[in-house]
Amino acid sequence: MTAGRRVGPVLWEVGVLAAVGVLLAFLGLPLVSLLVRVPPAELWARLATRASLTALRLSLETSVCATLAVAGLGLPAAYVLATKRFRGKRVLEVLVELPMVLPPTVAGVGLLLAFGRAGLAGRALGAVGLSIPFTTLAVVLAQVFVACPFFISAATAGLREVESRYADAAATLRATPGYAFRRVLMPLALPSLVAGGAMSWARALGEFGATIMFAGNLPGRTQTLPLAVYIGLQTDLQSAVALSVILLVLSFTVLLGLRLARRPPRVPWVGRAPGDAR
Amino acid sequence: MRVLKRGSWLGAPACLALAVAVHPGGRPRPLVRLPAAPSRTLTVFAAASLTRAFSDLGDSLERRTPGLEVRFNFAGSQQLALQIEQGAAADVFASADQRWMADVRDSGLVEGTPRVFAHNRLVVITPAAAPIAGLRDLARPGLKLVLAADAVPAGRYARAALLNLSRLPGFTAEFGRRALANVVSNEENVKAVVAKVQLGEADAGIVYVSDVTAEVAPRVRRIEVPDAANVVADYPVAVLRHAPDPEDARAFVALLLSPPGQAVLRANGLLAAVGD
Amino acid sequence: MLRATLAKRRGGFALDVAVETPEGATLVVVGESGAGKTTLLRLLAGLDRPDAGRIAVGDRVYFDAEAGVELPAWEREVGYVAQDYALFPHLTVHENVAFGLRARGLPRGAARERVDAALDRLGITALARRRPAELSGGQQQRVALARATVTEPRLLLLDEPLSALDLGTRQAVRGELCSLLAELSGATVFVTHSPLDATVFGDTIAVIEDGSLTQVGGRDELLRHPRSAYVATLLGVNLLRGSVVSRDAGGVAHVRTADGMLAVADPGVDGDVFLTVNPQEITLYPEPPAGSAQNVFRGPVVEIVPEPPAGDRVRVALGTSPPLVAEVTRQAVAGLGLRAGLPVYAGFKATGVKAYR
Repeated sequence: MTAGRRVGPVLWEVGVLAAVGVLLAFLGLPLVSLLVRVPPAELWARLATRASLTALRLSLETSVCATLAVAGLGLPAAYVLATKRFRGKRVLEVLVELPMVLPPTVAGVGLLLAFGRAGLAGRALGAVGLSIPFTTLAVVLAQVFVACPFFISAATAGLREVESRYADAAATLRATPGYAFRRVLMPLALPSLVAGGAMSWARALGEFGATIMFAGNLPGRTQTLPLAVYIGLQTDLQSAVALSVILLVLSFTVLLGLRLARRPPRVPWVGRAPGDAR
Repeated sequence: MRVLKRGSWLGAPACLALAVAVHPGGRPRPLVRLPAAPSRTLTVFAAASLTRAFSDLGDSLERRTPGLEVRFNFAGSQQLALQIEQGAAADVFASADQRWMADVRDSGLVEGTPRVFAHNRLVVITPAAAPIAGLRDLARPGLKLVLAADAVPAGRYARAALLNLSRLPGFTAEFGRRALANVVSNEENVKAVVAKVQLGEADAGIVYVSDVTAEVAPRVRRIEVPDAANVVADYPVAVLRHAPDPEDARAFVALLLSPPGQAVLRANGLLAAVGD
Repeated sequence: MLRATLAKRRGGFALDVAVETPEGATLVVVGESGAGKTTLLRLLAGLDRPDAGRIAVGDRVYFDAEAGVELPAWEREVGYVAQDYALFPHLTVHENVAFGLRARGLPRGAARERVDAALDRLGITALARRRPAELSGGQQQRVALARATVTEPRLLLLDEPLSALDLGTRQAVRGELCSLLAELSGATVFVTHSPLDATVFGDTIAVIEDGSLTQVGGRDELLRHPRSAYVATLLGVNLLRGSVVSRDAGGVAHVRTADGMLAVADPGVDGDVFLTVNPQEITLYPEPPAGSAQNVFRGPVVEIVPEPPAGDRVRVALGTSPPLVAEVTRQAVAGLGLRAGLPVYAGFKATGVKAYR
């Protein structure tokens, strides 16, 4: 082997490691900067204030509600996308993904124009006495809007994989589609669903732009932790940083916990892979 | 001609060069006159309520000073102060109240003494499609009132004005407290308050008189705040210590304080501070 | 009684078949990959929809294109064992087998009895609490069979059930599966590419090539009268085609084939005929044989395969024109010094060639 050929693989390894190092530094530095700015003792003192606790409680309540709503609404959509073929399916897929690429403020304006008092659907809602903007419900709706795609794409991928392997078997075993979904698809796709749920929750927790636009900013009712950080930032930097650290620690803990709790995937390739073309 | 092969991007400059070379007589004249690249940039951080006025003044200064480009950052004064203190490279800071100017000055970032260049007053706005009847409605239970956040100058002024109204005859002592209980959102700058009222989402909002611009006016109705209760906002301006372009910065401040500048401010709804 | 006519087009492939199997009997569909075997099974199971045709099992009509009848898969009384078994990984063996019964609402207690019986019949009672991932290939296959048969389907569909097993297991399972199928009350359609499986399991064998059935019949019928090169190769019989030129008084006919004239036993007919030569009728010589062999071909040895494995007899594939397969003893191989590439002479008598229309 010539020296040149020996250098190639080494260069590759070094290049990959360097790139990863840069990425880790870039992602890690802001997080580390947040952490070193606030000593732990002060952290606790800032958290224990009424305003912080209120914002934290509101954030947790709304994000959990939003995640449940996302799962409830998203699962049927994921089921349809994973198992059915129909005209216009691409359009549905894009529509479901859209909130992911839409700037949150734009989403907020859209929600306002749709569900605001003068909005398209808002007028009808107003007639039955329901006014959404400036309420906690608005916070949840904003979070649902931006977090939906995260759950749906994970759930669709998970269901699709399970469906392709086991749906036929279930059907030939007298299982109606509903029974097969409950007893086979859901249990086997559960890891994907949970992962999608975690992503959605994290996104909902961190939601800001759509919230401030659609729900407004009022402590106790609509001021979630990110909003408190942003507004607080402008008067009291230390408090804002402390709140940011709390958000950071909260998200990190939950995401890590979910990752550790996840058992190895339960969908082993049982038997030989089908060789014949269908 | 070979250079004009389809898809060849070399074709265009080649054509240009050809045209220039072929032009009869002496020095080739360019066919396209490009604007001269700006040699200097002036960065002004200004309160959101100064958007229209300052944009006009910026244009004016650019016209007078060839090679100068004026760039603005409009936001809530509290946000601008934070950015300046965190090291943002700005030449001029114009705040909507003394508090944030003092904050920046206390950080040692102001050159010289800040000058008050304008005043502003508050006004209540309500959606033209569903207006409230009068000031007293602000205390009506269930009313949706939107203010700027307390940290924003407009927000602080508005809260003070509401409390001031409580002391006037014709208003109950409870008025201020009830009105404040009706606040459904604390916006991050005064323009966001204008937007919410324009969209019809809020029943009322308290903003500066200068915020009711020609575009906004058709969609909102004004309810004046009596002078006895109204708050006069002081707008100080200062050149910043680490300004990248202090010369143009001083020129801008001078323009603000000059009669033509004051006229522009007045034309945009602000109250003049100099020679009034 | 299964009676089905099916037509299905997908891309460039077109399936067009008619199959029939009485209750309790097994129909083996044998063919190459891509010939349409799995498609056929999926259509019968209700996992795909035929473009046209009719499927009836006994008095129940599962599909009728003209009458607009189409029962979804879960309403057909069909058992299906896929090539990869598709055992549910999150359920135990017992739960897997019980799945079809519970899906129809059978209460746990009643289901348990039937499941235990099915496990017992397949000899896997000891595995009841295990998960599929812990089982060997042969065990998984048994579970899949138990799962598919416990519901007592009227039609059992097996997609290459033995292909995933290693040779040793396959031998053992073949016998057991045969007796299992014999006990079943419903009809079975068994799909495979192995001719051995076809001959072992098939009461009737249907040969499928490129979407249509080229021959359907019992094993003996196919062996005696193969009607396509594929079938012949499948069954290890040499097949040629030719046309009768003359028939003489001694019971010998002369047939012209693409590769020359052959002397064959008189078929009693004229015109185009199929010709089969049993590999055992072919003798190999190092030099042109004198005497009684009337049909002689020269060519190199292509391949030597013991048949059956570790047995006494050997199959020799020859690169003659036409290609022939001869079956000789090991001693003959040694005696002739047979090896790949060696040119030999292959001869067979007229009586060794059967001709038929």
